[in-house]
Amino acid sequence: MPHAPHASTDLSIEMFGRQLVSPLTVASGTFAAGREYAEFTDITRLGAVTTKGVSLTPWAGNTGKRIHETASGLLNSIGLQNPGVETFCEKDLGWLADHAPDLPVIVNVSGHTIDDYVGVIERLEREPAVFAYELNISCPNVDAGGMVFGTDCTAAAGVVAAARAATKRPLIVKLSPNVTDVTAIARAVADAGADAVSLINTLLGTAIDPLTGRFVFDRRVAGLSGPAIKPVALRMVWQCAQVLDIPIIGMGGVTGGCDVVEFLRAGATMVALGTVNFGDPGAVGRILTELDELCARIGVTHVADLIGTAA
Amino acid sequence: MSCMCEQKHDVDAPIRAHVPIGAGAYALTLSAPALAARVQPGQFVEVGLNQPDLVLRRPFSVFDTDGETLTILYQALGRGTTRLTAFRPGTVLRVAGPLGRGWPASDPGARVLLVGGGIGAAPLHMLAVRLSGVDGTQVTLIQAARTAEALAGCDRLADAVDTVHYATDDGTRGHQGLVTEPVAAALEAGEYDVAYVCGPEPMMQAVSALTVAAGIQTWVSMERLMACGVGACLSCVLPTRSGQVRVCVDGPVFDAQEVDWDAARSSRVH
Repeated sequence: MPHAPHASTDLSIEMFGRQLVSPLTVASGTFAAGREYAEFTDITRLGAVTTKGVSLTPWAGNTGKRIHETASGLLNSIGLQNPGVETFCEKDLGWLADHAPDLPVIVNVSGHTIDDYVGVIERLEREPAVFAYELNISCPNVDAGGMVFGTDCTAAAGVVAAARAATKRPLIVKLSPNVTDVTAIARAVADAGADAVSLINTLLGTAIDPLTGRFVFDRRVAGLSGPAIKPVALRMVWQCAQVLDIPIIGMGGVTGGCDVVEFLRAGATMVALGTVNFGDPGAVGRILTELDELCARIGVTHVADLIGTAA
Repeated sequence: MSCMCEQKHDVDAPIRAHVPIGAGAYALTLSAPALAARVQPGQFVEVGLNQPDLVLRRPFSVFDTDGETLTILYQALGRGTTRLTAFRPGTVLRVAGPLGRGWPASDPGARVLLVGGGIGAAPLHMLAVRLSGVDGTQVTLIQAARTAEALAGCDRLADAVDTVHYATDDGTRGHQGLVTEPVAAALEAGEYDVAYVCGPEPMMQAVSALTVAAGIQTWVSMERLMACGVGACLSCVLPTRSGQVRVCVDGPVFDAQEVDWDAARSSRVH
């Protein structure tokens, strides 16, 4: 053994009154509901799994190319393709119940209208496995709903209030970075009853084929993720932490344990892995190991002690 | 096809050999026994390139295996494959696989037509080797590329089959012109039970139109831009007669009659 063993860090954190095994979750849409990655990594080491966006009815997603790799980043235009909440409950929640019954499940809820969001939540209220909802009001890849709700304080508060009335379960609101002042939206959704915010969703971008002059994506614009956006994400998490009393789930370009520590220090209680899962299907296990070693190096015995310690 | 429930692996795979094979193409051999022991003809692997600014791995079909190593053939086209050309033997790459559903087996004694275009012919090699060991199976290969030099990179493919015809754009080897012409001639001259086709998408569409019209069961290996390679991200969806499917886990091999070729056009890679 090249390294002397150290006393393992306590990686557990408390979220919504429940003790979770680690501060890690995954960014919605990068991990399906966990099944595809279970062959590569122990998904039960996640504090919670966050599912792909679920809508009331099946959504076909976008036509044309759906991804385009950029320098240290990835543009995507998936368009929230999903089979609808009924199939989700049967297949995804069914698989999780059989294979990871103790893994808390955060369901990402998508909609075109307020009634859509409420309809999905009402259906999911009958599913005991759901730990929390994450309202997706920030997807840049759909026309109706999506980011339209997430870039306007009044619209955001409206959808959150309606969802709040539909459930007593913890309600997380996923915020868009495509705004002038993210703290204004964050405050609006907190005032409307959100129990936590998660940020950031993808940054709006585009790409053009230099030879043909054609836009790469049928919708022209797409969402940028990956290490390229990490400094922006970290800044926004820190800004929100200054003005909010509710927990924050930080995400955007995390590729290693160092990034997780940065987000925790910026004020996040949990940190989500997104694009990194594509390049490393074993990212969950690897990053937890790195986090553990880094905590030992820093000298904290409990990972939660890092939250909000940036000075 | 039966459920391909074999375990997938993500391993450190040292480069054993890496050689140019002409016309801007390379053969890369990786030591990966856990994958090599399981890979089936037509399956692929996701290769990490150790480049922090490239966030995705690259999917490559497997050309050959000796049970311990995997060989892939690739054309240096984009940022990833261009950088890959510089990697020397000994370099360790992260490789996940085997992934996807490969070529379905044909019945023993089948009359088989293989049609390959450019570097896209690579996934047919393991299949040809497998079929050459089946008594009574007759395999005809029609291989096309831009030039004779481009054909040469895949020349081991011809060693594993009974009959071979070539077509090149410039006439430097075999028929000069489109691959559909020797395919039509072969269908005229003989009878086939099953066709396996891999190459650029317009070529697969044109070839499978001929083979399907001749009543031949036709399998094609589809390509789409891929992020995760394991079925999670929905980047590589393909429109089919039975709805949208994922190339990475539902394919890459599909029944040519299932593919909605016209709807697929907007998301073509090549």
